Amino acid sequence: MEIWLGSLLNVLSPVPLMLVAGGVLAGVMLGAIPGLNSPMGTALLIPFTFAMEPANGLILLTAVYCGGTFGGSISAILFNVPGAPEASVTGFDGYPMAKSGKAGKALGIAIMCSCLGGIFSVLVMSLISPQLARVALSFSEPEYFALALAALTLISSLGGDKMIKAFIAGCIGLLAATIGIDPMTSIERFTFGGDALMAGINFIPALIGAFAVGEILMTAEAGVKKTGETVTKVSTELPKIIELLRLKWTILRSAVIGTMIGILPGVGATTAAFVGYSEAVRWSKHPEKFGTGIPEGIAAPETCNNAAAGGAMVPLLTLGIPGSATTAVIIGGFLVHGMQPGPMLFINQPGLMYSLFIAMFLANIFMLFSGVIVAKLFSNFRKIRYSILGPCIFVFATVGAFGISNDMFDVWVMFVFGLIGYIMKKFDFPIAPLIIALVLGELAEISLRRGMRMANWDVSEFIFRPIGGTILLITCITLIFTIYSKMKKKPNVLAGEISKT
Amino acid sequence: MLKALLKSEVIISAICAAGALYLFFETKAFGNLNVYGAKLGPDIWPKLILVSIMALSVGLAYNTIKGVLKGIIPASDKIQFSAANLRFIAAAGLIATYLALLPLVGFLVLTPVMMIAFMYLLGEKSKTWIFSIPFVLTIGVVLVFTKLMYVPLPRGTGIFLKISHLLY
Repeated sequence: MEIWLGSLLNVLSPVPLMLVAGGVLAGVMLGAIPGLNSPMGTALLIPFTFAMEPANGLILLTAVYCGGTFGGSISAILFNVPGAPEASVTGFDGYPMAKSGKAGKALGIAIMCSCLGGIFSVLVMSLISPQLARVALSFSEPEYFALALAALTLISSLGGDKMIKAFIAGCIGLLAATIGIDPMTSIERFTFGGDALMAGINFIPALIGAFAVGEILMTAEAGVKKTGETVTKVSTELPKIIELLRLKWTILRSAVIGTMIGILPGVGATTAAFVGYSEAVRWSKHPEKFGTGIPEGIAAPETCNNAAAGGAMVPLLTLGIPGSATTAVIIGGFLVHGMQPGPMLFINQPGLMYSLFIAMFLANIFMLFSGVIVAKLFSNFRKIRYSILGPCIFVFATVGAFGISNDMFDVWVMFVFGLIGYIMKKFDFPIAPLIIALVLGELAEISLRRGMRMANWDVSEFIFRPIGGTILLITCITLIFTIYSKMKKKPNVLAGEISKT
Repeated sequence: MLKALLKSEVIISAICAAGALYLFFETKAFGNLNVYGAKLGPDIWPKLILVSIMALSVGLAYNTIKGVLKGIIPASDKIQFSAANLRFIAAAGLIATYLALLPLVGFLVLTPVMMIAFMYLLGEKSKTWIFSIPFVLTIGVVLVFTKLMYVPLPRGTGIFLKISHLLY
C-alpha cells in the first residue's frame, strides 16, 4: 500500500502529469495522421527520454502508446482512412455514421469507449498481471486457430442479405493473405516469379485502398454534387449516461476480450478490434445493421483496441515479452535506462511498475480531453468540399501507404485494392469481409497447420482442448444458427440478390 | 436467358470462377513437399479457398439467373458508356500516372500537379483553392514526414532530385 501511495504521489507531481498529458496529445495526433502511428512515435521519442528520470521517460512512452491507439479512429471515422491499423474496424460503422451527419456522435462514442476500455485493462493489469500472463502462455496453436476462425465467421453476419457475396469477398481476402513466402516451408505462393510479392500483401495499404481510394473513385464517377453528402459542422458529442448504459454489455464484453487478446503475445490491438467487432455482431439482436453506422459498431472495436493496449503491457511487465509492436519499442525504453522488463522488475522496482499503472490510468482519462481537441482539429477538414478534400485524402492515403515500409509497391497495392474496392462497391459486394479475412488469414492458416503438426495430425487435439474446443463449439453453433436463420427468414437470401435502393 | 447471363453478378461470378481455376492450377507449382508440414503443405489452404471461390461463384451465378428468369431479380439494363464512366477512367488513369511518375519526378514536384488535376476533375471551381491547397499541403506533408518523422518520400531523379533536395 505504501508503494502504491508513493507511486501515486510521484505521478501526480507536475512533471509526470505534464508528460502524461503531452504524451497522450502527441499520441492521439500521431495516431490520427495516416502513415504515422504509435510504434513510430514511441520509437522517435525514446531518444528524448535519455535525459529523463527512468520513470518519467517510461511514463511518456506509455502515454504516447495509449493516445496513439485511440488516435487512428479519428481519421477512420471522419475520412474512412484509419490513422493506425488498430482503428481499421472503427471505420466500418464510424464512417457511415459520419456520412449520415453524426460524425460528432461517432467521435464521442469512440473517445469514451477507448477511455473505458483503457481504464478497464489498466485496472485488470494492476490487479492480476502475473496470473493473466500465465493463462496467456497456455494458449497454443489450436486456441489461436479457434480465435481466428471465430472472428472469420463474422463474415456470415456482415454480408446482410448478400451472404454469398460476403463469403466470396472473404475468400478473396483469405487468398490475398496467402500471397508471399509460406512461413512453414518457405515456398513462394502466387508471387509469379517476382520479388515484389514475396513479403506478401500488407493489409494497411490494402485497407486504405479498398476504403479510401475506392470511395474517391466512386465519388469521381458519381460527381461530387451528386453524392448527396451533407457536410455539417462537427463537434464531438460524448455519449450521455443513458446511451452508455445501452452499450454497457458491448463495452464490457469488448473490454474483457480486448484485455485478454492484448495479453496474448504477438496478437495485438488490431486483431482484438476485429474479434471484438465480430463478437458484437454475433451477440447483437440486429447483426444486419452492422456496417450501416451504429454505435455498437464503434464501441466494440474502440473498447477492444484500447483494452488490448493495456493488456499488451501485461506480458511486457511480467514476462518481458512484448504483446504488440509498440510494447516491443517500449522494451527499448526500459533497456536504455538499464532495466530488463520481467518478473524481477516487480521485486526490484515495484514503485516504477505502480507508477506506470497509475500513469496509464491517467493517460486514459486525459485521452477524453486530447481526443476532443484533436477530433475538433481534424473535423474542421470535413467542412471542406469533397472536390478539395478528396485529393487531400488521396495524398494522405498515398503517404500513409508509402510510410509503412517506404516502398512504392505498397502504394501500388493501395491502388489495386482501390480498384477492387470500387468494383465491390459498384456491384454491392461488402468490403469488410475482404479486409477481415486478409488480416486474419495468415493467423488462421498457420495456426491450423502448426497445430496439426504439433498434434501429430490428430484433429481431436483441436476439439478437445478446453479453451480452444469451447471457442470452436461456440463458433460452429453461431455459424449454423446465422446461416439457418437467414435462410429461414428470407428464402432468396443466398441468391446474393442486390438490394440497391 | 441472355438478359440473365448479362447480369453483372453473373459476369463477376464467371470472372471469379475463371480466375480461381487459373490460380488452382498455379498451386501445382507449390509442389507436394515430402518434408516438415507435408500433410498440410503450402498448397492445401489456397486450394481450399480457391475451390470455395469457384463453388460460391457458381452458386451466385445460378441463383442470379434463376432469380432473373423467375422475375425476382430485375434483368440487366442496357450497357452504355456515360460521362460518369469517363470520369472514373480519368480518375483511375490520373492516380495510376501519378504513382508511375512518383519515383521519377518526386513527391514535391508531382503532388501539387496531381492535386490540381484531381480538383479540376472533381469539379472544383475556385481557382484560389485550386492553386493554394496543393502547394500548402504538399509542403506541409513533406516537412512533417521528412523532417519530423524521417519518412523518405520519393525525391525523383535528375533535375527533380535537385529540386527535392532544396527541401528534404
